[in-house]
Amino acid sequence: MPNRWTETEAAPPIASPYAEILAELDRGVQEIKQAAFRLKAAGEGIQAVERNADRILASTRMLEINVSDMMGRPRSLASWTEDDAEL
Amino acid sequence: MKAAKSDRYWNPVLETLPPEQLRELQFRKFRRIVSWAYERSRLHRALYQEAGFHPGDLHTLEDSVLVPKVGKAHMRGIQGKDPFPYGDALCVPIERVTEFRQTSGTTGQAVYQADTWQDWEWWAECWSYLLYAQGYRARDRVFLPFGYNIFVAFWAAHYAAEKMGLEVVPGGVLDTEARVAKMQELEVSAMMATPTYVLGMAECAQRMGIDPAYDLMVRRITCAGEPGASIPATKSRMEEAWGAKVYDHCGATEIGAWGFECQEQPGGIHVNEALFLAEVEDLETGRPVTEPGTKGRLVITALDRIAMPCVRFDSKDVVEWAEEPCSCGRSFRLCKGGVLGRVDDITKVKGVLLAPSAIEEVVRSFPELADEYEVVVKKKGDLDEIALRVEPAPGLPPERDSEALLRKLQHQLRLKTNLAYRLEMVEAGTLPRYALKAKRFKDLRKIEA
Ligand SMILES: [Zn+2]
Repeated sequence: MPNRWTETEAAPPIASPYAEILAELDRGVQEIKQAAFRLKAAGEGIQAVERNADRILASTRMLEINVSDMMGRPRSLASWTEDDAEL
Repeated sequence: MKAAKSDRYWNPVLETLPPEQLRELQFRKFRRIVSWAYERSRLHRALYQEAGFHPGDLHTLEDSVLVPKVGKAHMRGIQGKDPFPYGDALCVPIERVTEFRQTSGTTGQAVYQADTWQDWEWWAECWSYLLYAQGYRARDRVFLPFGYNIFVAFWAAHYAAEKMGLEVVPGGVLDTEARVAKMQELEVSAMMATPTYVLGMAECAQRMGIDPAYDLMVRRITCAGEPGASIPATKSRMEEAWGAKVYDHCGATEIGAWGFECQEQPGGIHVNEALFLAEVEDLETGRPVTEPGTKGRLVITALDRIAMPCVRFDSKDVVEWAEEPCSCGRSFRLCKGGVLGRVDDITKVKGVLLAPSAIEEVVRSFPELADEYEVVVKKKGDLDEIALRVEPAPGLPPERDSEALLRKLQHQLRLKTNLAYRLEMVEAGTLPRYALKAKRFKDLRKIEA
């Protein structure tokens, strides 16, 4: 489909007096996110793991709103999936 | 690294972002949520296709006007259908919905609202921005004197307060006397309530022999649900009664908590422009209003809400941009005087545009009058008649000259609204008292017509 917003994911960071700290914070946010997705995949079928990982991901999305959107992320709006196309 | 730290802001990066960068952030997020709605909501896609709009048409923030608006009527039209009960605007698998809420139905049939857990986190995030801006900190013990029921506002406040590390005392089910007693017992430092209830609780406390300003420890009150905290006379009544700072906030079930008054009390509310895109449209022509001094209709987008997206929602709130930025340092723009009224409430009486809040401002500037009042507009023959009933303030001797007082009131009302009123002083305690949303303005012409 043309003009999906995901085509803009390569957008550069938005200029900010806090560019340096934002870059570092964003690295931390992405680490948490990737770790939570790995955890979720490893615990697939175990509700106690999957559901708690989803909660971490929802909170991580709030960090993305506060930090990572300034860096041109994220590629997915729904926190529980790495790619909205899978919804 | 420490440069970003600040005790003034929940997020110093976004709240002080220079306007140009803030607009860029809004544009990216706006395009993203429009595409999300287009791809996943049958309601939005149908509207957009009918209007010949495609998300790819968005090249600048000014292009936002190309996106068709969504109103309450659209949302009412789809509900009750599959995926039940939300219908065509649901953008996520129903298994992902964790919260059901609904609008109060003040203006007609209630609208159902679905939220995912992510949206729920987002609601708490909206409220965290606003509570932090109003000086709430982890040491506060906050009282919420409501059973939250299926209405979203105080739930979101509760979750935000928890996120911020406050201690939350949920005051549902209790009657007003028991709530006042609990607040005294726990020495709560803050409260959130509707302006009507803030005043009603103070009146109740006085009857119990408790003066809220001296006998209670509440020093911070956040109002929701009604515009009173942005009406100067109502705000000062509440502040005097409680010996507390009173702050306004704006939000709606379908939108989110989009605006807040900051601690500077600048005579208006900030739009949280990191999370929302606010557009103002001229009331008569519909053209975009970007300049201060012109009242318009607020059309608003929640940039991060996903289960049922709020994209260019016609809020029917009337707002006006302020001339000056706020001294608090936030780059989020200010709406002067908060929400000035509802498009549907601003009505022509005898050919004059009248906002009900203007009447409240006058009535509550009279210390001789009680908080309650009632306005009825009706047809008398071919002419409009506007009647206003007021009560004397409690504790005033009954032999006071009410005729002279009413003459003074008539004069002030005429100055403020350019209209003459049929005034009546009724006995103290006769007008209806409201706990949640008050209905003090009745336009019978609409019913008769
Ligand atoms: Zn401010």
